[in-house]
Amino acid sequence: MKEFFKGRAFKILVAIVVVIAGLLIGSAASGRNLPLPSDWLGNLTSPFQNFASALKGGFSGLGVYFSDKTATAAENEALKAQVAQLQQQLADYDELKRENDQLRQIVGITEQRPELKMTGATVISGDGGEYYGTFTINKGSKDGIKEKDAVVTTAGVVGYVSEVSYNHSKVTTLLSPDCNIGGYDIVSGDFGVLTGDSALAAQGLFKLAYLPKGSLIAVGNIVVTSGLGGIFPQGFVAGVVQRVVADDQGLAMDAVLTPSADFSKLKDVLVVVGFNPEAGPTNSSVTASQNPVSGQTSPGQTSSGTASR
Amino acid sequence: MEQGFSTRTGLFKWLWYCGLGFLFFLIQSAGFLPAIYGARPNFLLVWALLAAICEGPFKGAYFGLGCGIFFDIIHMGTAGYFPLAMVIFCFFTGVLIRTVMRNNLATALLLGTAATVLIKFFEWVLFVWLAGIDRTAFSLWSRTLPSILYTVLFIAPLYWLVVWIKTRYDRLSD
Repeated sequence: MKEFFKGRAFKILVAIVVVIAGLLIGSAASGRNLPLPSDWLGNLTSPFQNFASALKGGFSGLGVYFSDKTATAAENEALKAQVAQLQQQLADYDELKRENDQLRQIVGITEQRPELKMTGATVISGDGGEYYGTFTINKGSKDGIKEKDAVVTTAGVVGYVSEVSYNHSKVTTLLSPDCNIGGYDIVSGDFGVLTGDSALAAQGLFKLAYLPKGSLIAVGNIVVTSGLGGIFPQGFVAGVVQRVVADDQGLAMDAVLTPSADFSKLKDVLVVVGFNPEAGPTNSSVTASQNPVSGQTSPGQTSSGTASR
Repeated sequence: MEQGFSTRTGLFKWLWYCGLGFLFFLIQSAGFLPAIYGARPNFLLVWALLAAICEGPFKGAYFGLGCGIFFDIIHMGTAGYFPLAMVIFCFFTGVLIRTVMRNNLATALLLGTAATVLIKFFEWVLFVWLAGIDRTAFSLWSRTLPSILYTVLFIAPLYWLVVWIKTRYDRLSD
């Protein structure tokens, strides 16, 4: 070990140490930093430091990118879940609102027609472009719906239930030739059969057929259901007379009607699941309100009635 | 016997030491490594000590002097404590390896840790405690100690790097 401390190299080293120590003590005593060529060394190293700093910024950005990406992905998933939940709430709200509107309609009609027992339903599929206007509703036998139950809205008659399944039913509208519902003109009192045909269905119209040749039915008159036969309740507005024509054989008259219910915009309907065929509207508010001209009530009307079907 | 600078391979070897030392300085100063409790490792300190362990006391001391001066100038604009400390500790580390200890990872870890602790401790003594700065104990525990531990972590990988350089160029010079 001694050889390390004897050579000239060690003495040079000691001298360097002494100089440095002296500088250190001198700067400490004077309270100032010693002027050393830091500028040129700084100028020499700063480009490298800038590069290193930029490189470090790039790596940091990459790290932030991935961490942000991960965080963003997680936030995205959370927001998707929240959106799905909100959409479900919105759908639930819409459903509740629709049900509320249906109930309001039921209450409104029930107040006018207490003899009717009704349930609300929603159109779940349309007729796919058929002229006859059949559609499917979301209620079936489990909800008390039967074949030939009347389907109405507050605007008027829509049709009747033609097929019933457990949880859905098919409705045939007034536009279909299969539909044959008794109706009459509240002004002239002439009876006929509410039915459709393909030509009129294409125009969104139907007819009151088998009117007597001398019928006094006129354009603008309101036609309502007659309730004859005891299958379809009476007093529901079917449509307004658009024109009166002779039938194909020329033996009777047909009144072409514009339906009071807009089949193209049907969403919610009411199904009459029970009524008293012998009872009619307790007041004439349903018919009279639709016929500001005559104010007449429908035949067969009684003062009160209960749903017995 | 320490290899002189006169040989070409010796020159390249020390260029490698200087170049890598500068690279580690950039890594250290640019902040590539995350700060732990506000502390960052001091690569130059360890690099110079390991060079002294592998290359001998005198060359190690000169290399430590250079590293210390470079570090001080860049960071503080003065030549002071670090050059002095590096010269002294690099020299004595090299002497110990040449006399009573063997050059291997265990002694590198032992001497590197001891030198780092002492250098950092005396730095704290001179520039915090004796300078009358408040909360000296807090500075020791919260700054100096994490810096020591963080620096010591890199002794092993840097030692293998120094050994690789030395072995490669010593083989070339043979």
